Amino acid sequence: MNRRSCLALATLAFAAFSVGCGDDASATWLAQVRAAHASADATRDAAVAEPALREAFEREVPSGVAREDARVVRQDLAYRLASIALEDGRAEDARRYADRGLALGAATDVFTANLYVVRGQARETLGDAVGAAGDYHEALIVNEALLDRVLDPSPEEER
Amino acid sequence: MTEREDWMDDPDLAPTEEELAEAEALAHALARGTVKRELEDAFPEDAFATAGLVAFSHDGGALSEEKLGAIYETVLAEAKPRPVEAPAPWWKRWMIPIGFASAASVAVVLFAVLRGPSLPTEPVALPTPDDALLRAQAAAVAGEGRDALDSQMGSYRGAVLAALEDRYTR
Repeated sequence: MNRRSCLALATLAFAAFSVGCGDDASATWLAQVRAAHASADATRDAAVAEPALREAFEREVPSGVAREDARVVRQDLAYRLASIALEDGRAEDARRYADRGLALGAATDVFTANLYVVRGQARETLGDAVGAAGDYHEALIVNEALLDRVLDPSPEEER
Repeated sequence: MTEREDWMDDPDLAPTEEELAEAEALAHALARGTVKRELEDAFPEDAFATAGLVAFSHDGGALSEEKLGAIYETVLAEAKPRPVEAPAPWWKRWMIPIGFASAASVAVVLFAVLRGPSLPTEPVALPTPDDALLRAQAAAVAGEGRDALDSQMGSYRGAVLAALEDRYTR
């Protein structure tokens, strides 16, 4: 095989290898997220739980992960970070974490509703009653929609 | 300035390029008895016979040893065979396309093997949250605290991560 063919083969093989590695990166990212949650579950000490969760939240999401899947995972991390900050008496940090989570998008799911709940509580603590009421209202709208689905699932969901 | 230089500088009397070429061709014919290849066009039609006669009248057509040697050298130089490039063997001509075809095939196989399942364009269908989780969430909104919510979220989070791992680690 001549030199040009070898070069072409090496380039194509590298490209194929790079693409093939995409799922490994996604699996690694998910494992790191799970480890961060496990670490937070094991302790109520904010100094231990918060750095692990924050590192998982800040970590770059692999390109192979669907955008909505990334949103769900990161919003859940943001919710836990906000909860820890709120319990630690840092309402402003809690509100900031919740803001960052909601900036990822809003959907009719548990994760978005949780962020509204914890941001409402943070705002309430900060004396922003109107802002808190707005967040609770948003949380209730999502919660009610989810309850409707659970109590009266569509035929497609029943299958 | 000499008379000859005057003559050369006069544009009307100076020899044309054609005349100079004819003169060179004639000189070559007189010296070698042949027409120089690249001067064939410039050689006057009736001049070859004239040159032959002039040369013959001078020395009876005999060539000196020196002239013979010079002509011999010229003939040898002109007759020297040029190296001819041998045509590439058939297997060498096919090497490049076969090489590229092999590279492409290997790349396709590597791509299929290493890529695994196709990259997701649709998100994972999330597990349906149970009634207890949603009631705990509503209770948190009503100001009953988040302990129950956090407790319910533990198992739901596990189910969501398991669904995601099932998709991304397959």
